[in-house]
Formats: sequence, C-alpha cells, structure tokens
Amino acid sequence: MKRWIYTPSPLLDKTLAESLTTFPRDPTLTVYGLRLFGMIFLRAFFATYFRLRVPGRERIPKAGPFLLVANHTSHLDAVALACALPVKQWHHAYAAAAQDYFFHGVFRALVAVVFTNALPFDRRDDPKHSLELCADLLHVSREALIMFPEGTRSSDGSLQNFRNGIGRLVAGTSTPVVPAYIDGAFRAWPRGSVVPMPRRVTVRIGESRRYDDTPPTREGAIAVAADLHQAVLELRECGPSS
Amino acid sequence: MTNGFAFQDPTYLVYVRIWLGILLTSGAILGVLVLARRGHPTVRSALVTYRSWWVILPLMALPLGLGRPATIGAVTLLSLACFHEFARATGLYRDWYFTGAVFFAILCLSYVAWIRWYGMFLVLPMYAVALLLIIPVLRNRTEGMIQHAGLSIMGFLYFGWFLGHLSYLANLKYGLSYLLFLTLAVALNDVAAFATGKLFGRRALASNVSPRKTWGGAVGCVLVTAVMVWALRSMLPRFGPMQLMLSALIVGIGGQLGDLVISVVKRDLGVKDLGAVFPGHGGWLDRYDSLIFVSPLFFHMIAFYYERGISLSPGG
Repeated sequence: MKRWIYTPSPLLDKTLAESLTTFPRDPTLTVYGLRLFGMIFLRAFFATYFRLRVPGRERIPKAGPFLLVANHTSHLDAVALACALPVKQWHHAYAAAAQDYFFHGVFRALVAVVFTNALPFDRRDDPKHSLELCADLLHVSREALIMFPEGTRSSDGSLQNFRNGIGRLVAGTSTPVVPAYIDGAFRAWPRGSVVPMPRRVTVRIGESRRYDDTPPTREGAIAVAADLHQAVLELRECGPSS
Repeated sequence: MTNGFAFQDPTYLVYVRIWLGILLTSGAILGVLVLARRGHPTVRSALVTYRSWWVILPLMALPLGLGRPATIGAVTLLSLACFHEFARATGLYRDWYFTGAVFFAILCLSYVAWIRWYGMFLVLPMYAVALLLIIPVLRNRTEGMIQHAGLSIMGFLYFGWFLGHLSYLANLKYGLSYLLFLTLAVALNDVAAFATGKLFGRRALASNVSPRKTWGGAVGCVLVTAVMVWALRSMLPRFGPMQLMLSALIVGIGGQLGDLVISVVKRDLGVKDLGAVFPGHGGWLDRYDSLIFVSPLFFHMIAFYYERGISLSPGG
C-alpha cells in the first residue's frame, strides 16, 4: 500500500510578519484570491480616479522573465505598473520593495505583498543578497520583476541617478529590460502627502532591450544603469509636457 | 439570538464581567509570580500565554456582541482559518482545486446557516463530499487523489461542518446565552485540563497521542467543569439538572477529546504547533481544538430537548 506523504508548509511555525518577509514565498490560495480581488478593485480605481493610460502596453513581453524599470516618485508607482500588466501576469510580477520601509509593520507588509507581490529588498545592510534573490527570480523562476533603480522616491518629481545594482542584475544576461515612465503620479500623491488627489496618471512603456553584450563588470553595470536612465528620460520627453 | 447588538444584554454583560474578572485575577497572580521569580522559564511562558488571552477575548466577545450576522461571519472566518492551517500542515494547500472547493463548501454552509435552512445544513456534507470526489474526475487525474480528497473531506467535516454548528446555535432563541456559555466553558475546561493534568494522575490516557494527558487529570478536569457548569446554571435558560449534567459531560469529556484529536494530527505530521498566531498557544487550531469537538454535541443536545419542532425548510 502506498503511504500518504505529508509535506507541511515550511512557514508553518512562522508568525505572519515572519512569513511575509520570507522569500521566495510559498503561494497559497488565500493570498492569490485576495490579490485577485484587490487588483480588480485597484484597476477600476486607477482607471476612474487617476484615469490611468498605458501607451505602449503591447511592448510588455507576454511572459516572464523580464524586468520592468521605471522612475519612482510616489507610492502609486508600483500599483500603477501592476495595473499596466495583463491580468495573467499579476501573480508572476514582483515589485522590489524597500525592506526597511515596507516590511517594518505587519499591515504595511501585508498590503505590499497582497497588492504588488512585494519582494523584500534590503537596500541598506545586504543589497548583494537581495540582488541575488532578484537574479534567481529572473533567471531560475523566470518571473517578472518591477524595479525602481533610483532606490527611493524622488522628493521633487525629477529623475535621479540610477543605482548600479540594476546593471549588475542584467549585464551579460539575455533578460529583456522594459523601461517605463510614470507621469502624473507625483502630482497625484507625492512623498509626504496623506491623501491621493485625482490627477491623470500615464505609464509610458518603452521598447525592451537586452544587455547580452555588456560585460558583467562594474563598468558594464554603470553603462547599463546610464543607458536605462537615458531610456526613461527619453520616455519622459516623448510625452506631452505637463 | 437577534440581528441587533447585544452589548446591553444582561447575560452578555455578566459574561464579560466574568471574563474580565478571571483575566484580571490571574493577571494579578501572575504579576506576583513575576515579581517573586523573575526570569523563571515557566513564569515567562505563562506570561506569553496570558497576554494572548487579551487578544482572544475581544475576538470572541466582539462578534457575539455585534449580533447574529457578525457571529456567523466570525464562525465562518474561524472555520476557514482552522481549515487553512490544517491544509498548510498536511501539504494539501498546494492543491488549489481541493482547497478552493473546501473554502467554497464552508461559505455555502455559512450561507445555509444564515438563511436558517436546517434541512440543508444537515445534508450539506453529502453535497460537499460529492463535490470533492468529482474533482479528480473533472481534472482527469488519479495520482495522490485519494489523499487529497480524504484530507479535504476530513477538513470540511471537522473544521467546516463541526464548527458550523456554532453558526446554527446563533439562530436559536437563546443562542447568545448558549454561545457565551460554550466559549467560556470550553476555555476554562482547557485551563482545568492543563492544571489537573499537571497536578494529578500518573497513568497516561493515551501515551502515544499526548504523554501529558493522564486519567487522573481527565477525571479531575470533568469534575472542575461540572462545578463550573453548575455555577453558571442561572444563565442557561430552560436547562434542568439533566441538561446541566449533559453539558458538563460534553464540555468536560468532549473538550479533552477534541484536544487529543488535534494531537493525533500533530503527532502524525510530526509538528509541534500548527501555527504561530497566538504566542504561547500556537495556531488557531491549537487554541480552538476543543471547541470544534464540543460544538455539534452541545448543539444537538439542545436540539434534542428544545428544538424538536425545528423546520427543515429555509427560514425555519
């Protein structure tokens, strides 16, 4: 007779806070269902309240792995990008989120994990380990990753320099990198403001690019970061100035 | 139980006072112990367990005070949480078809309790089992399906249907009194079982299941619970000596059996606790294991004596 084999969840004796921070995550139906309902609601909210438009939506690859890179001015950014993705990709797109900010309280972590599938990114103490997590996600699990290479929200809405980590992640690999520019999120909900205002938000998607030829060195990483910075800048210029 | 608030209900207020009295008294005793034996591991773990009670109490008292809809909602969430924990511990949670079907069946059961359709409430397990058994057929899969179907059926029956009787209890005229009694009695019975198990008895009750449970402790616990039920008799409407005795036996014996049932699950799986929601207690199942076993027994005891005329049709 065949014996029953039990494979308990590895997170069984972890508290909610601990299991939210653990990555790679153990997907459960509950989180999947919450995310589905949450995203349907958020999509409707973004379409009406922020009148979200996504020119160039067709440039997003149909399946992972790919890296979505954008400017960062507001908490709306990650959700706006998730709303720009097709429904099928919601559960397969992970937003790299600052561990020191989003994984500090249980409630904040829960919102981040449910809505944007947040990946805890330790930008202060151990960014190397977090970059390895991201690399695994892209190259082993073949999922999509959303990243804000500026490393933090801009305080005046301008585009800051990109960190080199983004270059280290993709230099010398064939992972497609899709640049995007989020327009209007700063006016809708800037840093420090409490209530989001009903302003139009536009996510402009650029042509995806690869960096197979760039050497995976420090210089290569800097070059990739500069190239992506330029790509996002160009997307900002090509829209109607507002 | 009515759909309106019950915060002003005299029975409700008495039970809230009892709970607060017990928690504050034990807190005071614990405080003295902490001062006397600071850093002692037993005292420290008792403190962690005690703190969790201050979370558990409002979780139970609030829905009961908010009335029937909130109570049925809370029982539904408790059922879902218990099943979810069971599914995580057994590995069933990786099969989303079965987990989803059990979630759906639990929601259906709560809806049936909400519209007071007693006949369907009793028959729903048949439909649930039928649904769960056709899932492998619809998916055209056989590998491991007996295990998944078996675990799902146990999950629905034990965590959904058994606990669902608390929802139906809320439909009865004196539902609030019964539910208040049951939550307090089962909680105190757990504490009594823990205490008497430590104090009396040497012969193990089921040594392979739980080495801490002894015959002496079990008998002592039933006696303590009987005294407690007798003390609460004035707040149990319509209950005579026979019903009081049966309640004591159901809570006293059933509570300990429920504990042992979950111990079997844990032992077979080789895990210590099924979750970490309540520090010092474990997960939802570690806290509510005895209530699951007691609920249907208590409900059907009441139904046998006082609800024989209950209609099987919706709205009955």
